[in-house]
Amino acid sequence: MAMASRYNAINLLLFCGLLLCIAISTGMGYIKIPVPDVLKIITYRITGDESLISNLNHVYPYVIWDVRLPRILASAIVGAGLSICGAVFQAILLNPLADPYTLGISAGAAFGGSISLFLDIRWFGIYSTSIFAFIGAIGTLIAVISISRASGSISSHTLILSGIIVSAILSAFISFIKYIADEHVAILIFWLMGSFVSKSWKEVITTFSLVGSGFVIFMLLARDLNIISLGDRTASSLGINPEAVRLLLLVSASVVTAGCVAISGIIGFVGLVVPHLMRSFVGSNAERLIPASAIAGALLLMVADTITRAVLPKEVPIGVITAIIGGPFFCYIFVKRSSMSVHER
Amino acid sequence: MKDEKLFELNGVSFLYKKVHRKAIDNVSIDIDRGYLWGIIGPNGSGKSTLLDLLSGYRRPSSGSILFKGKEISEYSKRSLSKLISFVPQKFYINIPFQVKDIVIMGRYPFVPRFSNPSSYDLCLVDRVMRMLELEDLTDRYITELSGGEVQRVILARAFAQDAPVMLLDEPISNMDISHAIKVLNLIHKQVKTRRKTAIMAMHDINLASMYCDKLVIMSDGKVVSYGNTKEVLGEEIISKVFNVECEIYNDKGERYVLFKKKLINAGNTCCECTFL
Repeated sequence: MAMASRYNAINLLLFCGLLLCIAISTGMGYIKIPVPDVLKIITYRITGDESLISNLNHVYPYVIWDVRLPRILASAIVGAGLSICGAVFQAILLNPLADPYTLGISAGAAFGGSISLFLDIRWFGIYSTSIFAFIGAIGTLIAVISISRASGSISSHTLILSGIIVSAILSAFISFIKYIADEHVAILIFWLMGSFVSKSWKEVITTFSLVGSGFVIFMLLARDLNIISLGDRTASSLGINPEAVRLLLLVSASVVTAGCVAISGIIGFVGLVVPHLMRSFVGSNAERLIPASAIAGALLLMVADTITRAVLPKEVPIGVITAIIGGPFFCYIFVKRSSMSVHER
Repeated sequence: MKDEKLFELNGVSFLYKKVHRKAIDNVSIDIDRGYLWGIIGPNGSGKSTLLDLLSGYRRPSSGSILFKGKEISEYSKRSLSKLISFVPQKFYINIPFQVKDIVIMGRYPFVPRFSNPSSYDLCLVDRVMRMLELEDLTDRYITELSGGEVQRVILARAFAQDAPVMLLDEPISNMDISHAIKVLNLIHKQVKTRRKTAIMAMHDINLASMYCDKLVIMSDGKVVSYGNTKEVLGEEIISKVFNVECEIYNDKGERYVLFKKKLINAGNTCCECTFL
């Protein structure tokens, strides 16, 4: 059982790294706060023991607990969410190059968000854009599934094709909105590129419950997900209804993705790179790939967000950072893997 | 021993709705338990669709299929998965699973969710891997294997399921002759020593005649003839169904089919066309 112990070691290592990074990155920023003080403040907020912070600057608890921690946790949760959705989409669509956005969820969310920003809709207060993005993403999913169903059955081919069609149409609409947006165009573009600026505990908890329930569903169906990758006939002969499982996973993964996009904007490459990378460490078995991707994704996006927040002189949209780092990195693992194995096709 | 009916097909038809083509046309046959069955017929004659119907993957458009005396649609997928294993013809996998991951999936119907495979499951998987000479490939990725190796992995997955009925759709189409013979020997042994039933669609008529106890000959969605191989396999029917002249030789109890270069009905040779 060398494989199992190696898997546990990898997860443990990643998890410790995640906790360490949360502590370190919370201390980083415009006001530098040492790690022991960060831990004191977090313990104080959890236990209520005021003696812990008696000799600290009185702004520190506010900076740590109300400003930085929600943002850091939000980035970690979104990173985990996008990564597990990536792993699930790759398995459902039988394509290791699929990501949470393959079916046009990002385009749908972008379209919904753009509409609310362009028309200046504030029906839901500061959450209007998020809620519109969520509605846009789910609307796109429904459109993609109906087109796929109308053209035959919900298979990986029909899903990918209808995803491409719907994304293309929505992208045209988004370009049109940008074109006519005039003074709103800056906000719009900034939102589209993704950001974790000024996230609140409320948003953290909402996203956490969404990503958490997604994780539970994916783990419950992890075995069926493995079997589905062998093709419908094999899956059926192993006692599974492939179409039902596919639909259930598709909807839940899309809802999780939509939730992530709604609070953070469109952050690319995480959902593609992380499951890909973790495959080479823990294998393709979803029962292992999903938990490992969750931790690694959380770690990765949190580090990326800390870089843009505390390391770079000026804050760059996180979506740009992930694309600039993720793109070449993906290129590297792609070329490395291809040269390792001789593909016959 | 009296023959026991495993499948009873009664007036079964299957229509592909999109193309309005009857892939299976009013088939009524009984498939007895404990034999190695071969399904032969030209491309598009309905071999794969027949296997899809027997496995419960597709439902007949009309007619009924009884499996062990009960309508097959009344079985749950899960209970069928313990009784019937299936080796599909086309196998396309893009996700880099390791060979051992795939073979163990054959045990999933028997392993409760969230529990690890028992030592019996692992032992069975081990034995199957050795039977199909996959020991050296256990840690390799399926995406890196050759067509014949992949086919052996899929067979191993189905063998690991250890179901009393095996449905195989051209299981040796990508294998070299030595592996093909080895696999057919294995299937034959499973049928003979463990009283399993294997139903196998195949193209090589000589191998079918060597290994199959019984044959189903199909053409255009219909069963042209079925029964004991020795009684069914004749020059006339093979020539007619496959549209190629042939001769059958008997040698030490085996029958060999020798095909000639000549097609029986060469079709409409287009006089204007000078191609070839």
